[in-house]
Amino acid sequence: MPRRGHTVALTAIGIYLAQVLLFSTYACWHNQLEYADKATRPVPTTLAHIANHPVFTVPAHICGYACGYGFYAPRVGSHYLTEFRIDHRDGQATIAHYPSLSTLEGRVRYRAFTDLFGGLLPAQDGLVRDRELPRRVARATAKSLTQRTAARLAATRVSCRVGAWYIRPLRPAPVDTSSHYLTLFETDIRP
Amino acid sequence: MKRFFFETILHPRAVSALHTGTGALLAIQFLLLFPDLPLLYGPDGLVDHALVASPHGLWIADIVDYLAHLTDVAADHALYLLAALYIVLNILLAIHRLPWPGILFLLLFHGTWHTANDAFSYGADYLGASALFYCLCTPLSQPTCRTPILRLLQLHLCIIYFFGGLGKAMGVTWWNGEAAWKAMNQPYHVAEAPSIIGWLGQFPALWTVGGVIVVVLELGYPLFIWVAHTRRYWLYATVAMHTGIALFLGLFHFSAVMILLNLVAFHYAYLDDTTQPVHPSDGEPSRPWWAAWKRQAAAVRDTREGGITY
Repeated sequence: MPRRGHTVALTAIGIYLAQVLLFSTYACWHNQLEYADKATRPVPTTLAHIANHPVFTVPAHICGYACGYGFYAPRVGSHYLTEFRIDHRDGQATIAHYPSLSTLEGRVRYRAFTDLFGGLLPAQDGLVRDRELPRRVARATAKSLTQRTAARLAATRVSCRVGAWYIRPLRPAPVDTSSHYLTLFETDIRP
Repeated sequence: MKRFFFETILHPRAVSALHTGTGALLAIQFLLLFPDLPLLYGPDGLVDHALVASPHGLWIADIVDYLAHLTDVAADHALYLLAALYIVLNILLAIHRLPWPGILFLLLFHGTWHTANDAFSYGADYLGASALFYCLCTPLSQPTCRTPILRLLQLHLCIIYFFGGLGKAMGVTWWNGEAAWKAMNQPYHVAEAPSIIGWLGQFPALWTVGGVIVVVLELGYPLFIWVAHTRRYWLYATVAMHTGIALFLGLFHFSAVMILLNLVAFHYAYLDDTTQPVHPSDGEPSRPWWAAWKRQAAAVRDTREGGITY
């Protein structure tokens, strides 16, 4: 490869790796960014603006490094749970955590989808980001999930409860090993 | 710098494994997902798609809606047709019959399915896109050329693990085992997981050791994977970690993609190959990876029988 070709290739490699580093840094600081004070900590906020610019996000999504690599790298689970109580026309009632999904792959994707219900969590002190829009989207999504489940299963009534999973702490280890979840939102549909 | 990037030869076996592995894994993943496709991406799916609108480009659900409006084809049928096209393209990639324009199309098509809208996506989809990107950059027609792509893939993996480790090391929960414990006790997973996980919760020290091992493994990856003496062991440990993730978290596809990328970058590239000499100028067409295995087995047999070796 001629010298000019080397230079062009090295420049392209440099740009590519710089973008991977940018998104990884952003993902690594994501939790801190959420609680960042814009006035006193401008660097993380600027980083968020850069990482969310279309010039960077489009190639990042195509080439697959947009997810970043962080705490549970990359995006492998969720701490939110949906529970559907379905009253069928024959009078029987069933409880389901997955709305009709039958495959492991589908369920893994649904678990990632439930991250959206993080918007229902109560705001905490020092939180800068506006929580109202994510909360509304999360509520509307829970209602839509319930309505469509009712229509798909031709049920007389479907109730949906969205919860945040509570995991007992590792220390001190209690005798009781059961986990439960904290209800964040409930909706009830009677078509 | 130029020597580091341009004096390496991407072994045809590595290229072959990358194409075959990526195509096969993506095709298998989609075949497994097939029954749930209408629920996730169809117009009458789990949720109104207006609530999960795509901010990053054209999502497959939008294409399905458009096709259904434009033609008389039912939306679900259009969805299945597009899914069949995706699977066929991946199979062609796996058997080395997809030229680079086809791989480029597949990369963009993969994006419309998975990364244009992350509502129903997870890490494996993004890593799959990265694998397709590296397939695009390593054409099968020139398997033995000097290319910087191997170094790029290796550095990308180092960034993945370093930041994964850094993110974990910044808090205290991976150091005291709490994060590993929480990872194993995620909702849904708990209902399906064996009760041994709950039983192991009685031994916090075990989780502490596990958490520290993961942090050290990931933070040390960019260093020890380059050292010839430790490379093999670090690679084995990383593969073992991903096997554990597959078994205990149910993330089989994610783990398979990570293991594939690790093997391509740090196993196939460093094989002490005596069976298939690589000459940058010979222009020999690539063979599937199993063909190389056959040749290796034949060479061993010839040696035992007093025959020639390559």
